[in-house]
Amino acid sequence: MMDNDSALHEEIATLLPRLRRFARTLAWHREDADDLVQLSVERAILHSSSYQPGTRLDSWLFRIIKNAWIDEVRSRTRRSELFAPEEEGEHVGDDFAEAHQQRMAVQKAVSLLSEEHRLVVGLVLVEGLPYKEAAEVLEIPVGTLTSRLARARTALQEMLSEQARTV
Amino acid sequence: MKSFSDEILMAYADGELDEVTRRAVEEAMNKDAALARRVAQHKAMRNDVFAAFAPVAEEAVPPRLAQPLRQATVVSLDSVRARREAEQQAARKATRGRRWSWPEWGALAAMLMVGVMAGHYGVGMLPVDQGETVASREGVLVAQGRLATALDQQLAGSGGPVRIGTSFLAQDNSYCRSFTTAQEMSGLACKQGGAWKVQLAVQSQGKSQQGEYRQAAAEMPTQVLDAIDQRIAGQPLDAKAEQEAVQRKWQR
Repeated sequence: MMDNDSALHEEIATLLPRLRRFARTLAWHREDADDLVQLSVERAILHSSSYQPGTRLDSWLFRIIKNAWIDEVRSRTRRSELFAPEEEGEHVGDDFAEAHQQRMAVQKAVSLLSEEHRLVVGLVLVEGLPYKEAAEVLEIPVGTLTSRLARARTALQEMLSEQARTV
Repeated sequence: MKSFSDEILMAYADGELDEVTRRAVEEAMNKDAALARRVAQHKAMRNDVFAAFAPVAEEAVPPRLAQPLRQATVVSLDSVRARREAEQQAARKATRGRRWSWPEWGALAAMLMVGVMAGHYGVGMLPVDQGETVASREGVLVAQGRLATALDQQLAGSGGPVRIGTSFLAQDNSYCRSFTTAQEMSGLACKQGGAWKVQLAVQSQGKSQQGEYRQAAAEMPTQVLDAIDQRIAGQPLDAKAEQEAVQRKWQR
């Protein structure tokens, strides 16, 4: 039992960079996102017996993160502090800065999506889960996932072209 | 011409369509430039969103996230200890001669040390910036240069040429930190008398996994973990305690 657990813990440890990335699509602030990951990892350890070997471990962890986010963490983060002024494109000029600015613009647009849109975007576009897998994480039918994803993309497109006009 | 919903085009861009529908979309795209553009837009959006968050996965993982995964395996302390001791025995056998502890070697001049190491590892494996990271001061090995700077300033888990593993307060009331240099030399240094005294250093085994995710503690050689166990008083420092220690220049 102990060896199974430690093997599982090892595997979870190798997924930490992706868990942090997914969490960052939900919570803008690094600290909030890491709090979310920490809480989720603790829950995963506690409930490791509910993981079914042979199924995707990442999906199982994403579901734990989603639930932790909805249950607890979300209410503690402050949306008004979403963007500190210095985080909005202060460097202009070279290619690196431009790419950075582009990334910031997309991150910002994602942060302004609705909760359920952010979840589908994080799972499918950022973490690359197939629709079916993402639908299972969110416990919704594939059709619902597909239409949410389409609407989320439209919303992003609108925000990004809006930003492009105002810059 | 058959028209496709936005959802179908999106699913095509995401590689989610079945063979038949996929072919039908491709056929339509060949004839309809506007349709092809919409598909391209979906693909571009997917790429942009992925790229926006990709750097997060490259960041060093804060130790507080990995910590519970290491501690929770301690079901019975005795069995863990027994297993670890067995592993250490095996590791010692495997690395016989690869381990050198600074107290034993400390009396040797740094030049001789480099010579011995060069003989042992072959010149190619010799840590090239040896002089830059460790110096012999009155028979004691002291961190300097890049290593000293990292020990003074870097928080555990953050990246850079030198990676800091764990920070803790030792039983003798000095601060100690484990580290790994760019040359894969891992060790433990404690702040004593205003300097980082290297307690132990071990050349990590072979294969470096450049670019891959690595966790500072997971790659620490057993000898270093052992040395930490022998010295640690209480728990490793968390990020906040580390920051405070940095501000106090690691003095008690």
